[in-house]
Amino acid sequence: MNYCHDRSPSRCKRFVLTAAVTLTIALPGMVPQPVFASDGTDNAAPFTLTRNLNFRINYPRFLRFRVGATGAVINAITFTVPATQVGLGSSIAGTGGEAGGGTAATVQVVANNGQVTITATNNSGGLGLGNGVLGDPRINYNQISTLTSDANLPAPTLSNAGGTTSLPVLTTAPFVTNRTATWTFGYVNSTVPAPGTYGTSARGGRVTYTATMP
Amino acid sequence: MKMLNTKKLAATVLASAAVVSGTAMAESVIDTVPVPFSAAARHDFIVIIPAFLFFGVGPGALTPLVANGAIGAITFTVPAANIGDASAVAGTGGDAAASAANVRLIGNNGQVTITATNDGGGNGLGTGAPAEFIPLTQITTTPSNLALPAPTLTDAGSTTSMPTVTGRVTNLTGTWTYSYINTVTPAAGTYGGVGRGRVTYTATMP
Repeated sequence: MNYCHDRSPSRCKRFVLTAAVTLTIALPGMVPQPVFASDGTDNAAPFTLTRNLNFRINYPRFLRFRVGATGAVINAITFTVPATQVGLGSSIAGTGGEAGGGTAATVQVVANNGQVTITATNNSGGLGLGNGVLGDPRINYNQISTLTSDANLPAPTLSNAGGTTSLPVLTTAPFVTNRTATWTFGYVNSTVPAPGTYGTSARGGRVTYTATMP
Repeated sequence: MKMLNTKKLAATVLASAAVVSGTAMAESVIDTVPVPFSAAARHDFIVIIPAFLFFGVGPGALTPLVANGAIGAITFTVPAANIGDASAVAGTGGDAAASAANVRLIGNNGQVTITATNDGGGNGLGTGAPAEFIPLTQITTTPSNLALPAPTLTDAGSTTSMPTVTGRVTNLTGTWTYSYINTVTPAAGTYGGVGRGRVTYTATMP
């Protein structure tokens, strides 16, 4: 298709430039502000024409958040306490996690519209991790510690009630956060629970980390 | 030709923008729909606790929970002037106080029962000589922690005590203080020891 069939060469050029820039700024999330090249004519030698063309990149606001593996995977970390160490306060490392030899998770926050807040909640109804046996005390979430590899991306302290928060440090104030860290989890092991398998998604062991941004 | 190149530029910008605003994966999530922005990622935790029972009377530490071969011994030396006069005699050699033993009990699968037996053949503490015995009832035990009572010592043995359990969990420490009540007048000698009335405490749990 000839878009310039009824236009002079200069008008044709302006039309194409205008069309290209207009298409660019018409993308979803972008502010529609057309940009035009300036016009001008030079009829005297030496001929010199200067044209200014402004470029503008409109970037959408977004929030990207990752805890654990990428993809449609919910990671699980299992702490197996040796019988000779139950309740002794010797921290127990986990297995099955996506990082840190199985006891950690990779965490990434990339966002561009202000201070991000990370909130930890869980599905235990405020009771902690259960083993499915009626009458057995539950394991309190404060028995699971979290240590971050980067103080700029702290982890919320886990608790039975949930709702605890942490504030990643802005990379470029006041809008941009781009942080990656490893959160290492440990079982504090300062209590003596009844035997059993505590937690899992079915017994209050699922933590949901939610990142929010204005 | 310039017009064609310009069309290509516009198409390229469009394609790039589509990638930027695309949706990411689950548990690695992206929110581009304002406002406010919110993205949630889930993580599961599992803790596996085995059933176990740890019991210690006498020398040894609460931690680590490992067996040790130390056997405590408490010696009651009765002054000649007080033999049989019912004046209680404290012992020596205990690992807590001189006349006491540390007791440590941790279990997590139900009610623990502590049973005391002895190897005195039902005769109590002996010297090794025939017919020379002191009844084990001459030794009393006073617990420092009422939740961790001691079985009463007897010649026949098999007396029991029931530590307090919470749910299925028992986690108790205390001391047992022994005393010789000194109400009998035995023949002179050293009573007790291996084969002559050593007491064994046994903790059992379902």
